[in-house]
Amino acid sequence: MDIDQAIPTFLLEARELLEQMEDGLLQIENGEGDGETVNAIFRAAHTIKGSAGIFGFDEVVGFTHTVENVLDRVRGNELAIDRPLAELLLASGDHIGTLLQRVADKAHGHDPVVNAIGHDLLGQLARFTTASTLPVPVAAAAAPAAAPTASGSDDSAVTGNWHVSLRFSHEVLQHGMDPLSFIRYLGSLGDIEGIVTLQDALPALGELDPETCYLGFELSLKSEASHADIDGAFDFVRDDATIHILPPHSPLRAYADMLTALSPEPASLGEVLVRCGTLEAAELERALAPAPVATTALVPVIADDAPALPTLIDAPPAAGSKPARDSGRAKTLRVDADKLDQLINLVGELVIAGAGANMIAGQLKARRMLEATATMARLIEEVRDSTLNLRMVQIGETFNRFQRVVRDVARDLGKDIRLVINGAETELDKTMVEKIGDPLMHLVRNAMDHGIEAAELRVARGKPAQGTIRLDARHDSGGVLIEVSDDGNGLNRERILKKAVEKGLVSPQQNLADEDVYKLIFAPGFSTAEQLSNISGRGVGMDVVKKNIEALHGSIEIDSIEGQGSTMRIRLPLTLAIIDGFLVGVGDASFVIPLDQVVECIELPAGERQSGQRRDYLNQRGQILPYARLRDALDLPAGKDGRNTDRNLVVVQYGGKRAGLVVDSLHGEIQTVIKPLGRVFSRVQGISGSTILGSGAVALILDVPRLMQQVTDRAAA
Amino acid sequence: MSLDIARDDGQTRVRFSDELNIYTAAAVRDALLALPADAPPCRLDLGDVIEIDCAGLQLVLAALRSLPASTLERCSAPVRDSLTLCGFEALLPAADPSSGEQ
Amino acid sequence: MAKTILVVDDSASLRQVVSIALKGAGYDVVEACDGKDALGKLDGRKVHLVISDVNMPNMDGITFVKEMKKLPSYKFTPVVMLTTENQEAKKAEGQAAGAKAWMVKPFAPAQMLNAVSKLVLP
Repeated sequence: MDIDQAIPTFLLEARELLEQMEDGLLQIENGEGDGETVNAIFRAAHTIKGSAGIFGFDEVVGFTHTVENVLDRVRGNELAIDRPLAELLLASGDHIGTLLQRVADKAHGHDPVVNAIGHDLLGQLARFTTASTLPVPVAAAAAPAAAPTASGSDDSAVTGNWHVSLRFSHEVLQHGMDPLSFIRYLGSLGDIEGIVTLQDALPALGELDPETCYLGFELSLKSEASHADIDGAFDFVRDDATIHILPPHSPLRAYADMLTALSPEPASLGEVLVRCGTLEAAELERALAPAPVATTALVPVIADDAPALPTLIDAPPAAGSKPARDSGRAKTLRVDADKLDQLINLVGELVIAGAGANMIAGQLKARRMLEATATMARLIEEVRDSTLNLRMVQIGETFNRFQRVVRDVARDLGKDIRLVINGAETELDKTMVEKIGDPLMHLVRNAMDHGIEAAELRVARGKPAQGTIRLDARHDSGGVLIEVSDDGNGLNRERILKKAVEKGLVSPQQNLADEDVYKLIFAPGFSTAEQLSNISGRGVGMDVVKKNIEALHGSIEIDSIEGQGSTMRIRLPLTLAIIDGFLVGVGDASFVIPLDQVVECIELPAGERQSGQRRDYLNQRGQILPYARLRDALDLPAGKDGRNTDRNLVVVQYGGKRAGLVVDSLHGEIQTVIKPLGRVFSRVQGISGSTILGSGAVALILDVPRLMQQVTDRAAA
Repeated sequence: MSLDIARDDGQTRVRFSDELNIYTAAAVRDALLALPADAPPCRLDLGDVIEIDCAGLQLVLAALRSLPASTLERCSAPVRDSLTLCGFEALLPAADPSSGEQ
Repeated sequence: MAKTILVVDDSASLRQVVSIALKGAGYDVVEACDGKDALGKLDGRKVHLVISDVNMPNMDGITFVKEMKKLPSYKFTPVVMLTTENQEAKKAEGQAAGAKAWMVKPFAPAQMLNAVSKLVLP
């Protein structure tokens, strides 16, 4: 039996459970947990122990067992999780993780360090367990084996076989139990040397209920098995059977008692025992003879310790009292992420095909066909939205990971810092959630290390001694806005400037707005910390954070007030897969602008059209609107006839700013499936992807944030 | 479960096949009860039964008691096994050259 | 003819271990990851025994057993329920639903095979 192949599955599962345990503990530590949280923590530990037990990972079982004992007391309200206990349980969770890693590494023998840690933790945990610990559950509750009495005594039967007497309830068959299977199992424990099937209760065919059990059995079993083993055969049928098990050489009195208990006519049932070889005729006679003196029952052998049939007190079935969370769980379904990706790809193709059909219908000017394709387009849109929705997950799981990070890092730094999470239920694409974790981690560590001051300084500044880091998420103009903020130092403008000048990033004469100074920290190799600590000085700079965010088509900006704190504001699109776009043309080329970034389309004032007249900004309703010709921004060749129409201006916005893009023609709204750019285009500034139009032509998707950067830079220059 | 009832040679032959268990017992019982009261001696052919449980066994026992002069004719391996298990070796057809070995 | 056992548990590792053990002993195994999945597997095929977890997403073990008992071809199929907790209330609920056999996790594969063989020999 090679169960080793299941070990990877076990490890994966156990690690997930450990994470759940940790999340729960952190919740409780922050005073947010409830009874269900405690239950979940307990279940996680219990399941790890259970599966580990199946594989025989004794180290894991042993240690987790103790943890579970403590948690069981918490569950039973005998114990409350306070800070020290939470700390201890978190450390215990880590240790379970270590033990799992040893399993994964196939580590053999003892690791003195691991052992020492485990021993220390067990010692601490022991203070929280009571003497009456939870027993390690076993499959069958072993009944104590009744010791057979010495053979050869006048009072005992000669037979060296066990006697088993079975009566089943009428319902046993309906309960799915086949009495024959239990007898077969007994046969596997030894030899059934004699058996009599009792059919006195069996009615004639006409009266027989085919689903009711009428048979009883008396059998003589030659076996070396223990009482517990034989009794164990009936573990599953205890409530549906009356079972008598008499060990070899039982006192005759025990047989007599059994016969009297089972039948109003003990003598005739006794004949059956003779027939199956358990008793000799003479023994039966002696057994049933009126007892001369009461003292014959010298050794009270409690052989049939399971008169279980009707006596078991069952709790009233708690039907209908299902926990509410089950109904919540019933609404979720786990799906392989690859399957989802494939579905989204297909929907993407469907969107394109639909657009193609719509275009052809338009060209054919077939009115009814157009109506049909319009309906289809609407449905496709709905399918697209629902499909994309499937990939949406809450960011909360990612956020929650930071509870532990903040807690541990704060301890390492010797600071008191709490993490406040808002908008954990905000949803965004699964891929985004996965990829945003690392940049966020860096920002959070950075905020703790460089942002939050030492407690004395905070008090001196009139702030609470405990620092606060906030993680906020919310939907904002078609995307997601994530903020990492702290109430610490804030960025030091002078120090950043000094450093930037040292590094030659800016000249000392440059007069920069705060915002632009702050942006300097995203320059490669820039670091303001006088001393690299092991927390944030990990060789990954803010430039990498920025790059990672931009790879997700997102952006990051900084707000900071010196002495009061900083806020890092990350904007991300909801998804990377499909967007609603606005199709424009420059010369022969088509471009798509993400629709949520389009504000309006206006005609470029005639005075601005002359290519010589380029002020690069215009006055729109009293506001300065910087603009650029897309042809120039992307270095496109001039139009065929050497004359650029340049009639239309598309006003776009991003991150609270506006800019204009001048294009030749407007083609209206379009759904597009973003295809990643090939290597050739990946370096082209201002293009974020490509898409295929219904006509089969390729259109490039504009990277509006990047273009706006260019436009505003140029306007400022 | 299928039940095949044929008369020949002044005998009723009832041939059971497939499963003879709690799922089929009721149907089998009804079919047996439908036999006319004056039916000639009954031979129960269990040679094609692939599965028998306690419900099937007690049905066979009841049939042997209730149907006039009935006997077992062939027994498949599962039937033979269950009858032996429960101490009914005596009911097995004595010489059974045609016993349906599965 | 090998006997078929339907194993229902949301823990993939447990399913895998149980199934390896059962197959090694000569049973045929059908796996399902929750009650709903399991009901789908009861499509007319012969199932001699069901081993089911209690706590599962989508449809828990007890609801599954209740539903199974409504199906004419499976209403008498024996069920072994696996408990992760020693919860007597759950057990009573399960027994009322028709699950008469219970096994407490954790168990060694050999223990499980022994228990299964009490109900169905391979």
